[in-house]
Amino acid sequence: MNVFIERTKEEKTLSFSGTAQALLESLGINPETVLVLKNEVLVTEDEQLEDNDEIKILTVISGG
Amino acid sequence: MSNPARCKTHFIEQFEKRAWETIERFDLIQEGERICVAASGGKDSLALLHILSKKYAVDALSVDEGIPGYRDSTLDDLREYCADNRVNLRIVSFEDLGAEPLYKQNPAHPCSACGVLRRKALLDYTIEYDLVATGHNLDDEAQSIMMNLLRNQQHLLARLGPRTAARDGVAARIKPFYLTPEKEIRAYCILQGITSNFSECPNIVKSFRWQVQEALNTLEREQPGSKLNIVEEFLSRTYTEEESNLRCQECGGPSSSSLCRACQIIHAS
Repeated sequence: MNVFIERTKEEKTLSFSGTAQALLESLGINPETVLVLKNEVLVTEDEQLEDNDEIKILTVISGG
Repeated sequence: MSNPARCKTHFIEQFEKRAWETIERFDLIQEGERICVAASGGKDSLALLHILSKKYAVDALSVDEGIPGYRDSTLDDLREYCADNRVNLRIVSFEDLGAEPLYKQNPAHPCSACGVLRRKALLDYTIEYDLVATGHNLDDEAQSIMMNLLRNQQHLLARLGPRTAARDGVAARIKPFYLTPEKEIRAYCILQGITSNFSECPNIVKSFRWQVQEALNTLEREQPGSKLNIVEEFLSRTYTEEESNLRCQECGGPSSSSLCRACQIIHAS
């Protein structure tokens, strides 16, 4: 799974299968502060993610 | 999003409904009032322009603080949105106020200096309007309330709220997203196809607001509804501040001393 984290502009390649919430927890990201796109589609925290998905984690907080 | 029960269509409907209900609940807009949206080009102001434009004729004003690598991309988004949607846009810089751009000032407390000059720009360039609408959201307001409490500056709470009254030569400020969570605003922009690139001010990690924001987001995760409870508790009380009739001798704007903070900064830069 390719994961792009917008706030830090990091790109990671992970082996992961589980919910979006579980992914965020494994990355130490508070779900309150982000939205998750799966293959360019906005999904909820209970969405199941698979290894071949392209994931973007977008920040929702104001930048200043 | 955390609420799995809403599809795209219903989310957008509910989002817009909350903004209109907020406008109605707090009596924010009267018919015929001239509205200027204070727009940074970030998600909050673009979403606000998008919604208000559905019912009202609005113009946009943006302030370029002069922070290299930060404001450029959001201003590009704003220019594009306003051009595509025929919104009149005016961009003013700190230099237009007679001050140096923020990066040249290099103040010890950049957020404080920046905020003072941004407020002055909004005062000076919105004289012909009845209302200045800002994209302040539920998260912003909960943070502001807690910041004032944590600093024991309770007199400043009177300046918060969904609408601040117009004063002599100063348009009223309104916040249609007063009860809207920040997270939902970004989701609305994505679902509506509104481009809002994330751009982070390099000074934000120096700010007290940043610390409070982090704490409230942790709290909200553990105790959902905390931010709304803070704001509703604030609304249930009445805060007053002794009205100052002082005017700045330099610019004539509202001031607590003979020279307002903005003019002090302009003189020093």
